[in-house]
Amino acid sequence: MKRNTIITILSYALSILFVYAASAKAMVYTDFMADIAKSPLLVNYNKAIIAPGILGLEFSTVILLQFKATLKLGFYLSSFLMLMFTLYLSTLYFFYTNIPCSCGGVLGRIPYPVHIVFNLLFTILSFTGAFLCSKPENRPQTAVV
Amino acid sequence: MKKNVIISSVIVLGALCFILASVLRSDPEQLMINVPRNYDGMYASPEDTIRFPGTISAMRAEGGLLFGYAHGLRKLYQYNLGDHTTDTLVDTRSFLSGILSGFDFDPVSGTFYFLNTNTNRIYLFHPKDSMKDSLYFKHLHFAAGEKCCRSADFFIRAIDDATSLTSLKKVDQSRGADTTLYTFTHYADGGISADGFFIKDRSSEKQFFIPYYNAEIIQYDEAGNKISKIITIDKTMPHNNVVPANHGYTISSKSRIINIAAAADSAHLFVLSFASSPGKNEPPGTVIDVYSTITGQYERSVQLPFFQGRRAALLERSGDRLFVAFDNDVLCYKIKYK
Repeated sequence: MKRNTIITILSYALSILFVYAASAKAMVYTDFMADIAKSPLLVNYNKAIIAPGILGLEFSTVILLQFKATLKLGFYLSSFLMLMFTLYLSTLYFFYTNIPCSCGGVLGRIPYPVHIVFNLLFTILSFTGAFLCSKPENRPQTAVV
Repeated sequence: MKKNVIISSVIVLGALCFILASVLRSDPEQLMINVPRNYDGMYASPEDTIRFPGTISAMRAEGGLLFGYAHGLRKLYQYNLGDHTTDTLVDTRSFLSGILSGFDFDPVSGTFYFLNTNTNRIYLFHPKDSMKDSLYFKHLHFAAGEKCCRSADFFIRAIDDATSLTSLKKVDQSRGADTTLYTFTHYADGGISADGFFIKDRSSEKQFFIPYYNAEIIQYDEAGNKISKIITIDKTMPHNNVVPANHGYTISSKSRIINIAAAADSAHLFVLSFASSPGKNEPPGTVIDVYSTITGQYERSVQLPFFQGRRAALLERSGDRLFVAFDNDVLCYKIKYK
């Protein structure tokens, strides 16, 4: 499979994931805020900043992944977010008693160990995308739309 | 390539730093709610301290009497609020064994009810003639319950042994008939995720099932034969809080109790909560949240101090009094509204 094709598939997969995750949170925004307020890790942070901040970063990642010029940055932002979510969930799952996961839809219903593995997989895919974008001779010829 | 590795390392390091900072600032013992509590409009002024001979595991108040059952001593006590005397009503060792899974008192017939899930029986005691009796539920397996307000039926939490699903049922024990009022939507785990306790208010004929682990209180209006929900302000959704064990399931060590105790009057439900609101000094088990049983909405809260370093464990409401049990001590508060 050509490198460009892999990059395109990765950017689509991550875009779908972030659109789905951000939309699911936005549709139940009050519950999302409540989950953040309940989180033992985020209890001392201002949820009025954290909640819109997460949504903003997720939607920004989707936008960055749509353009050739910002594709690499999009993959890096995606790597950062997915790594954060993986570490956040793993820390709560392994070391804390209260695990308020804010993910909506299907992601909110899957067991936590599966959720962690799922996040880890997409973290690796995001880093893979960023590394593949760095090969100058193999950059996609057309913008990913 | 080298640049990519550096950027990736910065990302990984940044994420680790953020999580580490969050861990250092975290408060694992605190179960937080998202709304500020309203402490206006209600006051609880201490009126009396009642000391029972043993730790009270169940209590009921009726008229000028407070009944406390000390499971460790297997004795039922009666405290007279007028002359401040405590009497032993019965030693239950002669007719009751195993863990007490429910306790109730019917002032009309003067009967005490002791529920025992080990034997699937409800044991009855009439103090007037010292008569002891028991009712055997042979057609269903109950986990907790209490007598209905209006009828002679029982409002119970039953487990279907075939499906392991848990329901709230109204049972006519004499006919062996039951009606399913509500089936818990989560997990066929033998009722572990749906664990909780029952309370009622006789004047409004309303009964309540209070879950330990989530915010969905089930209200049963016997007069209208209607089920409704009161969602507590922590808004914790029902969830699977069990882990597989050798022969079935057991409660997960990660499970958090949210609702500890409750009491009701004709228009209000008082719930002793483990949840704290942001920016407030609300140690778990010190705040009672008050909900309207008519609208189902949160109204206000009242905070109780620790009593001799102990947390409140039981609540009971009678007239304008609120009884709060701390092990073997019961504090009687007079409730005043602004």
